[in-house]
Amino acid sequence: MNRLKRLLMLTIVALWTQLSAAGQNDQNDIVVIVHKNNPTEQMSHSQVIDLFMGKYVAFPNGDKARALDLDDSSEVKKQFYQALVKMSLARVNAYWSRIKFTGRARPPEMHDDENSVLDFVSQSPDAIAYIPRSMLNNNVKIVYELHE
Amino acid sequence: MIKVCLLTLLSLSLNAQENLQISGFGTIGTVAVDSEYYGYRNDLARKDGTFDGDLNLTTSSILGLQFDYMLNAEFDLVYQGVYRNQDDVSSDSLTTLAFLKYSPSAAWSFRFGRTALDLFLLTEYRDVGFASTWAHAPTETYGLVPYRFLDGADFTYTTRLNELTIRSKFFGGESESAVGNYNGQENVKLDNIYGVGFDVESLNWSIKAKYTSAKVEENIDASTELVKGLSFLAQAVPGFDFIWPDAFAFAQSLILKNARAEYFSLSGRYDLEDWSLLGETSLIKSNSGIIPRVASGYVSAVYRTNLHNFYLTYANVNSDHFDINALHVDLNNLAMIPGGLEIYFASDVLMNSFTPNQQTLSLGWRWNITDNTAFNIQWDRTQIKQQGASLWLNKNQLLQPAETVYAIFSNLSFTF
Repeated sequence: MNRLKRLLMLTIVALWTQLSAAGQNDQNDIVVIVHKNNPTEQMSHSQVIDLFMGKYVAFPNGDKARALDLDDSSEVKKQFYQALVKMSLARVNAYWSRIKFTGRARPPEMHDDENSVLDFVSQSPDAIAYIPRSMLNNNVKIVYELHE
Repeated sequence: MIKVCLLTLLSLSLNAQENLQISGFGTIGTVAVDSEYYGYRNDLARKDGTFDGDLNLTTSSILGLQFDYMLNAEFDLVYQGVYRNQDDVSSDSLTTLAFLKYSPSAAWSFRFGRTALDLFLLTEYRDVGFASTWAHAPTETYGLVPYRFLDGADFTYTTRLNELTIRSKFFGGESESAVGNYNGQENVKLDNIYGVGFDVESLNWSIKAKYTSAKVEENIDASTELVKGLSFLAQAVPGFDFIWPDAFAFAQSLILKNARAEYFSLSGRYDLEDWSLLGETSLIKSNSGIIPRVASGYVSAVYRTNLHNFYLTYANVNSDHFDINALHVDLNNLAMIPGGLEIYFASDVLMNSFTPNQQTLSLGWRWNITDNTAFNIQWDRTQIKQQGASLWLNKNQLLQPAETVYAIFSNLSFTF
């Protein structure tokens, strides 16, 4: 009986550890956010790609969007593009050099860090950006979640 | 338009730096070739290049600087200047982009001023080394078109259909470029340019089709002199028609002014995990005897790891060589007329100045040193057919023997 109780306790502890870890990982997930008053509620994977890769920089209702990006040194940026388009930053930059240096489209506006991005989106109904889930505040909402 | 754009950007940059983006690109490159007869050049604009024994830093090296100014949510002002070792360094020759862009919505975009000429898949960004996996764009296709810019206007309409992005583009204007050979170069202006492009893209594939039509504005000096000389002989020399049949009609075929050229391109790309396959086929034709029908194409396979790309490319170009023997000119009697043979051989050179026939196999490696810097090394094996060396510099225009040429390109490319 004692052995059974011990086994049960171990199982519960193991399960609890797994759930806590999953919770931690969820908090590190990258999410795509807009201002809370933006009419967009949800975006598809291809819509997010088109927006951040300069192909069609608009929300699903056709309104122009203002995409924000992080500095190249950001780990969040690396994870974002790897999850979104399965590309390294070098490949993303090569892609954008084709778009930017032909004057075809504006690249996303660069910000130094996630706090700067969050502040901007919190005040701009047409802005869209990506941040770790853990940084969410009450002025923004999630329209797409990335999973690696 | 260029100077207005520059001055406006400079004054705006002093007042509102947060709306101004300054960026740039560059390549420091070397080329080495082993040809006994030919010198390598990037495109037909160059009258200098790399011969056997040269280690040339200027052929592949380039530096570009771009200013993007966001006037408001709908208007942008863009200027780009590029130094690629042009012979004539002026604000006009350095400027590749100088336009005002109006985007009332995500779907529509209108640009007025100087934009990149969108003839083939890579024409708009072929000078941006970092943008491309290769050390250089396939010469068989891109060496034929030295034109870099379009002074005029374009408009683009973009829409989404499920997971597809569909883009249509229409453009019109004029352009100008130097066209050269070993003996010199001269400017060739194109006007009445109009074109259309149609792109369909999905997550991992794309198909693009382009068509452009352009008129040559003025005759080139080489053609003018030949037409004058041959027409004079046809009129002044009694019985010249027996020596050179239909000489006057042939002289008219040497006139480039008002000739209309057409450019067609169809390209595709497919990405599958670590692999990419891309290819393009293109066609140039005109109603001028000097610009014959030229068909070219390439296919390339690229394998990617995290930092390294390995690629294999095959490219080919063929055109109809003009056989001057088909004119049945009596060379013995022509030799007795002052200037006769010179005109004959100069006609042969001019009629074959745009008749490339060659194929290239390329093997290359690209190393992404940082997220904005790449090193590239590429080995080319080019088989040039007899009289098919139009893409190369040739010290003897009349003698173009068949040859297999090996070349090594190494580039350090960057953006900032």
